[in-house]
Amino acid sequence: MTDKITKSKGNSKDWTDWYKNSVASSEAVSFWRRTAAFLTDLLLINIVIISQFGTALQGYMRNITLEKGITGQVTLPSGLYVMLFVISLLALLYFTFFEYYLGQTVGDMLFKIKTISLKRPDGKISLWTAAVRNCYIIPFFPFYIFWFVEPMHLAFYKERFLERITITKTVMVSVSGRQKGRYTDYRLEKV
Amino acid sequence: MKDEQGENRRKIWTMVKILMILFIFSAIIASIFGDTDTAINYNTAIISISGTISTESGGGLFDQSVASSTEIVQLIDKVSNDKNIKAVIFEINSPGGSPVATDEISQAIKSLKEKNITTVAWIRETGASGAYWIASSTDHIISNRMSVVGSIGVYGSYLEFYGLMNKYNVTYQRLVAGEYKDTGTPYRPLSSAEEALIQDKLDTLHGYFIGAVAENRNMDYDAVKGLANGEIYLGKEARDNGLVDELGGKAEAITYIEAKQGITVITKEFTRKKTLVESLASAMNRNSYYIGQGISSGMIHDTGLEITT
Repeated sequence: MTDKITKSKGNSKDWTDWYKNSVASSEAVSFWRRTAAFLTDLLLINIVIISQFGTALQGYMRNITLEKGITGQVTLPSGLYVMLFVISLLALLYFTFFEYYLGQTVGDMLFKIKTISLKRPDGKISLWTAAVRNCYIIPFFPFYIFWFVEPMHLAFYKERFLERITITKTVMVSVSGRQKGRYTDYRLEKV
Repeated sequence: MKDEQGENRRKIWTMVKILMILFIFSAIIASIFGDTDTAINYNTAIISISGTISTESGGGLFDQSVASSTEIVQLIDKVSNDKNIKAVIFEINSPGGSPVATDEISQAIKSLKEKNITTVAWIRETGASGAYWIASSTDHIISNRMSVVGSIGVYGSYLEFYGLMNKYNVTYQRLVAGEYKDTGTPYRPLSSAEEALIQDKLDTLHGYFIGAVAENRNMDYDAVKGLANGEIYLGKEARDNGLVDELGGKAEAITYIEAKQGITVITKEFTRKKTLVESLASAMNRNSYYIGQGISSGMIHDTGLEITT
């Protein structure tokens, strides 16, 4: 089933304008709801993905103490970097697949939020868009720059920087499936 | 309604499929990494003795300045009961410390010999006083040519504030039951009898120290006594006078073990794991210490001996 926008009233308005405006003008999801959803996703990633690497990580971390790490007395083995990169890629796949196939991650489902594309009529996100908007997950240069940029952008503009550049938006999901917005000329249906 | 139920079912099924794919994929990739603890087939333990030797545990996270005999003996016990272990390398970097703690560690090391476990002391920068006593308990001592070794002696010096107190008309009211109960208090001078008493104890401890080194190193008591004037020796000097067996480092320790045990050494570090609460609590303590140290270091010139290059 896909979302389809149908005209329910007589006013002739370009649906794309309505869609963009209604969605774009709809209230941004609160920071705390988004954070809660994200933390839920992280918990699930920990259970599903990171736990598989527990033994391997323990082996690498055996000789590393926090003090050594902070004072720079330890050289991290290259295998650890590879493992962290692989884990981050798997986490990226988690967010990418969920947002591509469902428009929502598990955390988003629990907190009734959804990610939509403002470029497409049905709001569906492409695979590439989903990957790009979640690339901050990768803990290596240049992606970790987003760890600073994203929260600041979210705080000031109520949307993430990567959401802006991928022209996507996180919105609330209504129970009936009807997209919330100012305009009621059009209705979102399941077809 | 039915459409929504169907949609929900589709969502859940898609969710499950994605999670299962990720789970399986992660498991496969994790198995490729395998157990990165390269010491699965370990046969040689490395135990660090770093900092002042004490029976107490240190401040924790940042406290590399205390080598707790309680913890080290626990590690030695763990090693002793580990059937994989054929040898132990004690990585020593300590100026010494408490005689009791030193003896505890020394006895624990000697107990390893009963299980035919080869022990090697690898002295890094400093292996002095109690740390040397511990090193002497091992089968083989290796140090760098510039390591500070020896200092076979005992001291109980302390600051006495009688003169200062007198200057400011502060008096010490002595109330004791037992003539020597307050011997060593910094608020009054030592009497000659008390000084002799303490000196006697120090001499006794010194005798224990010399005896232990002589026994451990298979040297004549008098020969060790001649070296036991508290003098520090550089690694090369210590090797020349018999306090150290070999100059070198970890590689030499491994070579010795391989020759002695006829094995290919695979090492594994044995350390005491701190709990998260211990680490956090001690970090706070340690930070407070460093703040104070930072403030005071600007006021006090460190006049203690420090050999630097």
